[in-house]
Order: sequence, then C-alpha cells, then structure tokens
Amino acid sequence: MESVLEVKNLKTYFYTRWGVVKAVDGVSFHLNRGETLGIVGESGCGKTITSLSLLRLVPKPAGRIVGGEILLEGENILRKSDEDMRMIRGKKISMILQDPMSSLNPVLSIGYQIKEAIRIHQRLKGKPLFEKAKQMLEHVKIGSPELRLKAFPHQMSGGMRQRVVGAISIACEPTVLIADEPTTSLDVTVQAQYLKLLKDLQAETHFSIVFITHDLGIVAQMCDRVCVMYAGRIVESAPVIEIFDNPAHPYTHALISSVPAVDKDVDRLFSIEGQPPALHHLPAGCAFKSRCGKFDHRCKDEYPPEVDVGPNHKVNCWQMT
Amino acid sequence: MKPSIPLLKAESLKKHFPVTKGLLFSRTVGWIKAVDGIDFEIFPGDTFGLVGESGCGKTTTSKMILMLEKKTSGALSFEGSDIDTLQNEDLARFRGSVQAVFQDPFSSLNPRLRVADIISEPLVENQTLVKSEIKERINFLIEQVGLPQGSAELYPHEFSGGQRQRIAVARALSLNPRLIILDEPVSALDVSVSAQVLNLLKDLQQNFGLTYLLIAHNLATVRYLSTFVAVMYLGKIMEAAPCKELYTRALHPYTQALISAALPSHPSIRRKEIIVSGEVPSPFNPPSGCRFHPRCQQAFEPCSKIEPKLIPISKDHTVACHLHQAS
Repeated sequence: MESVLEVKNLKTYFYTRWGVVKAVDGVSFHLNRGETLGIVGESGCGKTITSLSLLRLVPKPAGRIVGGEILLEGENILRKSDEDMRMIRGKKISMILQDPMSSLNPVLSIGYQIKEAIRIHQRLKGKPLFEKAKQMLEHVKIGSPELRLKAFPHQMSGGMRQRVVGAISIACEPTVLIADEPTTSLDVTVQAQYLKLLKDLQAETHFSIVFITHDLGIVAQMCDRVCVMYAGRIVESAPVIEIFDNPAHPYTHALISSVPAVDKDVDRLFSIEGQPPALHHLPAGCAFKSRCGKFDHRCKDEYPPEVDVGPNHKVNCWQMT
Repeated sequence: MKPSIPLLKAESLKKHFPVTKGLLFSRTVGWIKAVDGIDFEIFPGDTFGLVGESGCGKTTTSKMILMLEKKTSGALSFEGSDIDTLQNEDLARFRGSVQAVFQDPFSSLNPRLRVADIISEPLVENQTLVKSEIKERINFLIEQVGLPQGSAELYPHEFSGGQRQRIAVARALSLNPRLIILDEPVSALDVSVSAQVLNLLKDLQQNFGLTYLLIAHNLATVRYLSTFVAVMYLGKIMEAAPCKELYTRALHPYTQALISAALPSHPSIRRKEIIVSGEVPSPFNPPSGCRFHPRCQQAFEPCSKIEPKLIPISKDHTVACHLHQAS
C-alpha cells in the first residue's frame, strides 16, 4: 500500500524552567492512503503534541521540533519555509480540534470561515466560491446550507459546529486529516452521528485519518491500525484487531482491560496503580516500569528495543525480546 | 429480595426554571422544564444509575436531592419521611446522610484548605468529636480511599486528578452517609485512573454498605457500577429497569439508540446501527406528545399528540413509549 505520511524518529521538546520536557521523544509511524490510524494514550502522553508537530504548530517559543523527519508524500515538511507550510496546512494536511467552540472564530460567519480556506487554496471567487461552500455544508449533512452560511457559531449546537469544522478541514480535499479528540465534547448520540459522517466522507474522498484519542471504543469503531503512546513514545503498534486480541505491551493490556464495556458484563476492572510519570524527569529505562507487574533488571537501565511480534505488530518491551 | 422501604423516593418531582426578560421589571416569559415529573425509588445497597445526554435533567435531579436546588413541585422522601418536613436536627441528620462526589475534582475542592481540613470540615460542623477522634477518623478515611500516608497535611494542588477524586470521596464518606450521589465521578479522569476510582467506589460500597445514585452519560460506566438504571430524556424518565435487563432487553427506542451509539469494546463487534438524527431539543420548548418523537424512527400517529405514561412491562421494568402501551 502507498504510504502518504511517514514520521521518522520525531522529537519535539519543550524548554521550560523546570527542564527539558520530552513531549515527543523518537516517534515513528507511517500512514497509508485511505487508512485510519489511531494514536491512543492518556493525557500527557504526547499524542496532541505529535499531531501539532505534523502541522508544525508546536507552541513557540518553548516548544521545538528538535529532530526527525516528517515525510508528506515523500517531502520532508520540516525543511519547508513558513510560507510553504501555510500552503500545506488546510490543503494537504488539515485538522479537526477537540472543542468546536474555540476552534471557530465567534465573530465571523460560518460562510466566511469555510470560504476562507477555499479562497486561499483553490483561488475561487464570487459565485463559484459560494457554491463550493454551500456544497461543503451539504457534504457534512447540514440542513438548509444557504441560510447556515450566514449563521454564526453561537447559533449552532455543538454537533453542528463540529460538522462545520469538518467541512472546513475537508474543503480542499486534504490527503491527511488529523482528528484530535473530535467528539469528546459531544453527546453520545451526536458522537455516533459524527463518527459515521467521518467514515462516509472518508469512503467518498479517500483521505487518510490520524485519529488522536484516549477512548478505546473510538479506536475499536474507527481505526485500521493503532499506535499506543506512553510518556512521549510509541510503545506498541499493530492492526486494530491484533491490539485488542493480543496486546503485547503490559500497558496496552492494562488500558484495554481497564475500560468498562457497554456490551458485556465486567465483574471487576483491571487497574494499573499510580499514574503516568512527569515528562521532565523521566526515569532511565522503560517509562512504564514503576507501574508494570512484570519488570526485571533490564527494564531499569535501558529503554527496550522495538521487536516484531507478528505481522505489522511491533512492541517496545523487554518481556518480548 | 428487596427491602420494602426505599431509601429515597421521588414522586412526580419537578423543577422548572423561569426564563425572564427585562432588567429592572423583569417578567417571566417562559419556563425551562429541566425536570418534569419523575418518579423513582432507590433501595438500600443499590446503585441507581441515571443516564442521559446533556440537558436531560439528571444533574438538576441530584441537586434537588441535595437540597441545593428547591424543587418546583413533587415530593422527595428519605427513609419514609418527606424531606420538606424535616427540621433542625432531623434536617442536619438528613444532610449528613446524603453526600456527593462531583465531576471535576479540580473545582470541587477548596484550594486553600489542607486535605485534613477538607475531609474534617463536615465532621467539625456536624458531630461532637474531640480533636483526637477527628484526627483518627481522617487517617482512617485517607487509608480507606487509598491515599498515601501523610496526605493529610498537603493541599489539593499537590495531587493528581485521580487522587483528588479520592479526597472528594473521603470527604463524602466522613459522616458515614447512607446515600452518596456520584455526579459523573470519572468523566474528568484518564482511562487507567478512572478504573482505579471505579474499583474503589465498588469496594467502598461493599465495606460500608453504601447506596449510590450514579449520574453519568457514559453507558459503560453505568453498566459497570449500577444495579438499576433509569434513562432520562428532556426531564422525563423514558425507561427504567434492572441493569442487566436494560442492557440486554431495552424496549424504548431512545434506550436502544443510546446503547447502539455507545462505542464497542472490541473492533469485531458490529451491532445494530440505530443512528438517531438531530440533537436533543431545548427543554425550553420541548416537543409535544412524546419528547423523543421527532428523532424516533419508530414514531407513529399518537406519538406527536399524546404523552406516553411510564408503565410497568414486567416486574421492575417500566417504559414510557406508545409502542408498549397496549401490552
């Protein structure tokens, strides 16, 4: 399969008063065309910083991408000028953020905000621009689009706003769509609608999705492959069924068995003691060792190498070597 | 084998908020019917789960039980006595027996108090304990909720989200309550931490013989903790049943849609897809008849005109839907 995005050994650090925070510390993954890749992890594991790095939107001046490569259709976007980068954002890579209330501009109409991206990237004007914006709203299944183009974000409900954000981000037919927890602020039934919409749009236009989430249910429903992140690193990656059936890393295993299920009775949840370590002084060796039930002397001193445990299934754990 | 007297009983409980216009001579132009006539009973030892989407009135219900919000009409009785008639000591005892744990442990704990003071505040107010007894009690509670030794002297900001929620639980436990209201207790927490808190709540319930009222929008959490579940929509209970029954044999189209919209626990699980269109309408002007009818795929003629009553289908299983009115 053709890979559209390849991330190699990406390192994004934050230089703070308290020391260097290695938010993303040597992350590598690839994304195939038309595929949905899930990046799962708990808060503070670096999943959002990974996604911001893909767009080169890491908060400055504290944050900096200090190493690695991000190859978008073969081109390293870390070498692009800021001007070139502006032409890539929204056109080749676009993003849906968590909270549509803060990602839409409250004083501009929905129409203006959708047209903005199309105007910049496709250089349309006047009637064709209007038609295209209208068509985008129809695409994300918003009723009476002509009226809605004149509306402002506060006149819409959360689900509708998130649809508008979706319309903006796919307006220029991007190759890669980054969805960073797009449904956390939505209600259950609205979330189901939105996930279905994303799937339908993907089936139509074949973009690839990087789905950032903490919810394994979303992963189960949406993703083809999964990367599990812990303390700034990917600790396991595999096809989705494989992750759920044969989790190789103790952390992945713990994550999966610590979620209550809606479709079966669970007598007692598995729970990992403690919490993720602070990223500014990570211990040597495996970052999960203090919470892991199976650690030995190797985990203490050295970070485990990546090993293959199955087709497309990689894990960083000493127990598997 | 249920005891005959419910711990808490609500009868046609209502809360309407006025919508006013004008600044100086404001007049009421309408009412938001946040809770519009609900009945339920919570029996000792049970976990009563209240699920629904945002704006369905589940939090307002909990506030009325905690007497943080005055009810518009209806009755609430605790251990058989109407809470409106309680006075002085009885009222104080009631307040002590009903405690709450809220959603966000970052805003529900006073940042200026040490953990010991947070936990002991209810004790100092409500009980005649001497200092040494209070200290003993604090240490006991800290141990029970699994906080590290020495936590008593620290401030809330020195703890992580999960630990703060443990502090909130310890405070709720301090007066030996009968009923604890858990309002979205884990929705602000991370996956691995929320499992710890859910397990803790389960253990404490057994050790102390507690009764829970669990308010949540996450159906999986509700399934894990609850013994009995009521589904709310726009201020009304749509369906109520014992937990297992509700998840395996849901009758109301809304319950079915909610369960189908919840995310699967495994990628190979493909369930019946019931996608409801639209979003929850505003409670300011709820739809006529059955409140769910504009979004319901199985709506038929009477749904838009007559409001269905909550009627029993079998023992303990009640549903408010025209599809099941005849039987």
